[in-house]
Amino acid sequence: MYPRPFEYARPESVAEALEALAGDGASEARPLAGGQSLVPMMSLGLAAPDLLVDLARLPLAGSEGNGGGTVRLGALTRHRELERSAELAARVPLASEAARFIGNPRVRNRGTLGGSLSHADPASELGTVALAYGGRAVITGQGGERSVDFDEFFHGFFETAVESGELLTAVELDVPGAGSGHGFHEVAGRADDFAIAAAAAVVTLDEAGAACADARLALAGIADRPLRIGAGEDVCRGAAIDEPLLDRVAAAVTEAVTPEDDAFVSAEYRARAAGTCAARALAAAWERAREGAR
Amino acid sequence: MRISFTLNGAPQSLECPAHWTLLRMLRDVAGRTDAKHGCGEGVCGACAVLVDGVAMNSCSVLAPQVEGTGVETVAGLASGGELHPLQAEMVERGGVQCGFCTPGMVLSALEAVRVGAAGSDAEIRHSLAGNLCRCTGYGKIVAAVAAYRDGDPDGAAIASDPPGEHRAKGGEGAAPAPGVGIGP
Repeated sequence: MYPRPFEYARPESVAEALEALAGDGASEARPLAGGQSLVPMMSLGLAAPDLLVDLARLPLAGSEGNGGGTVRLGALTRHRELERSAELAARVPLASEAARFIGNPRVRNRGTLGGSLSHADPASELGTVALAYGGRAVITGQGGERSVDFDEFFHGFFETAVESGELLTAVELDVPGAGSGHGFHEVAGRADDFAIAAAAAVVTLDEAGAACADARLALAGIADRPLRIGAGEDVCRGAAIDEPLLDRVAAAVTEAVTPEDDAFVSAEYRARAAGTCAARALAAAWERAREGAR
Repeated sequence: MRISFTLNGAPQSLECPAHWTLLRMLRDVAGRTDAKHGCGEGVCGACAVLVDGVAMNSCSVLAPQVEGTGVETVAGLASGGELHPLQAEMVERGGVQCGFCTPGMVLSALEAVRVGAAGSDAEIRHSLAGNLCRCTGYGKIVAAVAAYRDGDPDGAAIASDPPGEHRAKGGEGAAPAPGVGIGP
């Protein structure tokens, strides 16, 4: 199948793009970033916008910030850059690790950070990254710029805080510094398939470096959106993360999530996969934090 | 709409509806049927082409998005009647059976070697994820890519070069057009 006919615009600036997206109110206008979800969905007849506003010429690809603290990434940063750039791997290592699991290399060559987050697939790897680091989506509309905390960003299946006529223009991630570590784990049916479950974790050690002062844990594939799972985080806080504790994390996460059966796996399998992913992501985050502390 | 780009090194200015995919434009307007229509949703890799040296699923790129770029299909690889060394390795090592996945497979593998993402068998498999082959079982394809990576006298140089410099190495000194390195 092929996409249905649509009008095509290729603005040169954010202001022009917003003007095009505002449209006439009657027709559906959609921004086009990498197109790696939108174009297949159009080919499958699942999306049929009247107007596509191609963002390719907008200057939204750079990044700012270094080491610990907030890193600001342009919305058009490609998955390929997250995966392969040594600079980004140093700044946002969790995003870099998770990017390897997105789609396949051709998809990563073209897909973008802002496009993926705006698309808000419930199995989105980068959704878990945004939640596990914490930070803000910078959303630009004709009235100016606003920031939305990622804990408030995902609203449901393919729905976010980005309103019609607005654009996600940048992503701010609060990356912890020394004494912290990250981990990511995914279970999928094939190497390049959607996640059955995926987990991203960030662990920050206490001052003695002996216990977990804070843990952030986010999962994908288990609900209508990527979600933080507080029950898994709570088990870790104040404790040293060892095997018995990880068993408790897995049990707590499996208990906390409420996935549904689908054509591929049962809800029970998905919940158990979620628990396993959470435990392995936290184990990796703990190991990295401890290595950094030594 | 009018879409201008280079195809295997040759300038094109094609009239194509804006809602057509790059794959459809290549096949139905430009007559380049070596880009294969498999799944049509970015999963199988049969339609992979290089756009400015970067591998993409042409079913998931819209025709207007290649305005001003250099597009390469597998038909652009052979030179002077001789297969590209990676194609030759694929034939030699049995990496080709029915051949339907081969154009996308070869272009994805070529990009992987160029960007240094084919250093080990595991890396080759990671780079070829999403290029589905139902015949070979992949082992012979991975072996062919590894042989190309190791055996091509220019292999090391290709891996570290930006896209577009490959053919210039053994050529007549004429610089290729930007982003179009492996066309004739």
